[in-house]
Amino acid sequence: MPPIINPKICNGCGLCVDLCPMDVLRINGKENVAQVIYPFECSHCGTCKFECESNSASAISMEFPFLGKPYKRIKY
Amino acid sequence: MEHIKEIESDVLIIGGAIAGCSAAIKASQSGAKVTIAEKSALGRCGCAPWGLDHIWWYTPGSEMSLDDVIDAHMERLCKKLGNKGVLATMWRESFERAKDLEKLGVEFKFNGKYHWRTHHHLGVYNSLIYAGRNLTSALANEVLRCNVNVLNRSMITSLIVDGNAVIGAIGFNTRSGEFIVIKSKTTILASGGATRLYPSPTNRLFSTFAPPNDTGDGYSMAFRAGAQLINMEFPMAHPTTKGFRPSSTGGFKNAGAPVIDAYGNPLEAGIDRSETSRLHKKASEEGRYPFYVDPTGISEEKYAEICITSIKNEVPMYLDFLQYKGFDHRRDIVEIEDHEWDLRDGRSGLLIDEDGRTSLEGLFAAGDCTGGVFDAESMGAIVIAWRAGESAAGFARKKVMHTISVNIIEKEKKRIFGPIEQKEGVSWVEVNMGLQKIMREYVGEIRHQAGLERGLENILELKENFVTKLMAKDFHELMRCLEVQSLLDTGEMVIRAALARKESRFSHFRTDYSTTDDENWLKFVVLERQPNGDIKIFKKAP
Repeated sequence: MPPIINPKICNGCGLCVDLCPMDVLRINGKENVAQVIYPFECSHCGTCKFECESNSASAISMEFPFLGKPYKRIKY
Repeated sequence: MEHIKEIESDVLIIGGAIAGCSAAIKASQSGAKVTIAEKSALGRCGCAPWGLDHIWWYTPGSEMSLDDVIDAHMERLCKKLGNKGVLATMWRESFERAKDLEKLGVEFKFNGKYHWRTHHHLGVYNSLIYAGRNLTSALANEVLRCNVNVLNRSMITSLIVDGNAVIGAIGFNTRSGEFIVIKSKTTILASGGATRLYPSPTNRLFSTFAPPNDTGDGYSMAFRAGAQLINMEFPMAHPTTKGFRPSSTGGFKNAGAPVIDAYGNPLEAGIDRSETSRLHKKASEEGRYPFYVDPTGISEEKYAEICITSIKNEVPMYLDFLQYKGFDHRRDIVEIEDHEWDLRDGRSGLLIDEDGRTSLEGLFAAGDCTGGVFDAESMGAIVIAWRAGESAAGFARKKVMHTISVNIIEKEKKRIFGPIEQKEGVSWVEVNMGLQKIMREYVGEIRHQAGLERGLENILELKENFVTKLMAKDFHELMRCLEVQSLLDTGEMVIRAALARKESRFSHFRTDYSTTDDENWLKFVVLERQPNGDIKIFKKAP
């Protein structure tokens, strides 16, 4: 699942758009926020999220819906 | 699309990650005018966008002598089939290069000290360090400081050859569609390996262990230009956390966490990485699936150290993944699977010497697009790129710039922009998935003559009848269409090399030649395309 961008926090600085290795993001000119335009090609590297955080905003979060439970609890 | 950007450069570097930036820095320091073309963007591209948790680094005065380390790498990882000159150079110069990197701001230390480890694939010696935070971005910052002409979002599609010499390259901007023609006295390929060649077990094209935009572009353009490539028959994989790429089970395995089957029996003790896929398949057939890595026995202190020095350093996204899924390696065992087979780590690709020189005049190569050293990894890329940068700059001083003929430019322009002109046709996704199916079924874990021949027929059919039908609605899709063409060339090379190697070795297992035959096959299989289009395949002693 591609990054989720919170339009209320995103200020449209474009850092994530400039650095995304798969080039899946663009700035939506009308609203001046980052937008995922090729969601299928996101590789979950985290560049957008961490760069956003390093720029002191936290507009991007990631979700990992695939494979519900990759672990098994053996110690409680 | 009609606009042409023409550039002249002493040294052109194709690819802007670890190898590309290292080469650019050294070439620039050596006085050359340098241009670097990167398909994505400098800073977070390549295999280590967030740093590395390990790097080969031999410290003089270590417990083991340098020669013993080189011999161990040759024996255990290359299994004697290795380019000894390149391997020895990598280890010999690793200390100096690591110190150079530190000066550029690469953070190798954590809390003021180095964390030395024994690597789980290499075994005994403590010649590497678990930290290399922001390696890629520190290198990129230095490139920008060095006044290098950086072309981001620029995909190079072909090298231009005059006789046996490379005189430039052609490509396009993947956002604007601007057509790019670069004249260069020397060219350094640093364009990475190939993933997206085999299907990912996650069932998604872009959820791969290595970056999914590593699509063998360098293999393809070098092959078409007539360079010699080796070891193309050895794509391989290793286990990663189920459903998540990239993962970080390696840090736990280093700390002694066992890999176990569904019933808690140990699975991988002493198993070679190149054979894990086949052994996992066998254990599955025996009804022992699923497999787990069990880090629950690791001490609290060790666990914290792995999180800080290893995971946070290389794949910080894994910590988000743990939090999202709500699991904890101190209590939970984590399910693993083998990632898709890929070509990288300096194992398969262009045949080079210690200075990164290829078989073509004026063409150098470094990093994952080169072959000959199993697990050369980042330090292999840095050391060879450094030397290639220096050699290329020296070579350029003695050369004059060639003119690229208008015919060549027009022909490549037509090839590149073909899919954009196409009004109806097939999408790159269909062709990519078709190729992955061929690779998995005919040139996977179990290979034999008839299957490989059939696989080759199928790939040639895809190349002949579907490449011309590829369709792109924008320049971003056009990049994907051209990546698929690189992948088709790479797939063809894998099959041709697998057909040639009539024995079994590493991940290459043939039912019709099931034993390892050192007497006849402790040799590289070399692929070389001739000017008339024929493909010459021959053996070469390492």
